[in-house]
Amino acid sequence: MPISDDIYKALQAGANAGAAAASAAGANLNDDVNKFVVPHLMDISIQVASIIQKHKVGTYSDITAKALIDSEEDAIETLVETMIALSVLAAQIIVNSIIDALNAAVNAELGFAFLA
Amino acid sequence: MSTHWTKFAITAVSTLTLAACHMQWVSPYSADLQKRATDMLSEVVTWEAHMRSVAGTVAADPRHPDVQAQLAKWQGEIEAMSEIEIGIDPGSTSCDAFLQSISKGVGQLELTLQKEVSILSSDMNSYTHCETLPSIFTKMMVQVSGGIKNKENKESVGIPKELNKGDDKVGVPIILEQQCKIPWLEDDYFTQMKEGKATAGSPLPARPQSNSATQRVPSTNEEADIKNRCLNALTQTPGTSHSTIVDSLITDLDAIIYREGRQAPVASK
Repeated sequence: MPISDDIYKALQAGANAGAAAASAAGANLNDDVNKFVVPHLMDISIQVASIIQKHKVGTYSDITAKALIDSEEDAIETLVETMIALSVLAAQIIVNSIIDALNAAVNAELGFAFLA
Repeated sequence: MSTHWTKFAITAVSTLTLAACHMQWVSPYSADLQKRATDMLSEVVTWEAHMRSVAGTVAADPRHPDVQAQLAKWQGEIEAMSEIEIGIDPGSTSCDAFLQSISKGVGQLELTLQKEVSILSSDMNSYTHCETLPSIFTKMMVQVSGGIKNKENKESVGIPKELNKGDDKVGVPIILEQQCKIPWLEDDYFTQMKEGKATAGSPLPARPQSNSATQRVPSTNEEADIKNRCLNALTQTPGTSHSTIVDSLITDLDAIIYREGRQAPVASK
């Protein structure tokens, strides 16, 4: 599913940027990232790709698609917060970095600014 | 002189508080919390399969008493898990708020503070983290009750409003309302169903029965459309183990189980 690959790359780029910042601050996130975050990010990419496809064909309304993507963003937040050794502020910066990447990937796929 | 002593006093108090925060850095392992999360995960997966089997019928409508009862039951379970977490780690949220406030408010003192902390304990270099598990319960509650993602909550722990994203309605009830609500049935039909359940065995109905359920006969296309829409929300997404509607909830439960597993004593893993 090529859309999910694009979204996964975007999510991973966001996660790497955040993890690099945390790593520079002395936090080692490798264990949690490899065991827990990466498999779940892949899962989220597939789910978001599925939401976009169903929205495109009219199976999901705007409200449904936005509510589901918002829920996936919540899931991203949970994943980041699960990583040990992060301050709440650092976690929020990583979350925002990933969500910005996700929104950009979704908007690029749809061809208009569906997500702000 | 008095300024010097004031700074010293603040530093001493802050250092001790940070030490307390460090002690609560990761909340203690709770076998009860881990078991409850595992049980709820099993329930969510079972419910999803059941809903898929009844997609497009009254039984999958968000107004159906069984659907509402299941969501209400999960609200109770989440509340119970949240209470367990607060019970075993009562200082978790205030610890985060404290750390944020000192990092913003005391300025130069923070540098002194870091120095003091490093002198007191060489392994306290991660002292800026406190347990953040309680926010998972807030998100799970929104998922099962339907609601608006709240930007204001996080300001209490020092995160600026502009760093928070999202203010749309989310959650399982919202998706069911959009995808599985049967448009030709009035609310009254489900009210009667609830009353029928509540008064089962009673010699008289709670009120005179109306015929709202049979007022409009849906076309075959309408029935096929609602079934297709509902099934799409509940069908397992290829490449994953569940549907999108419960994905966030399952991730939250996985996170609790993972965190508890990480903290579990070696013998109990």
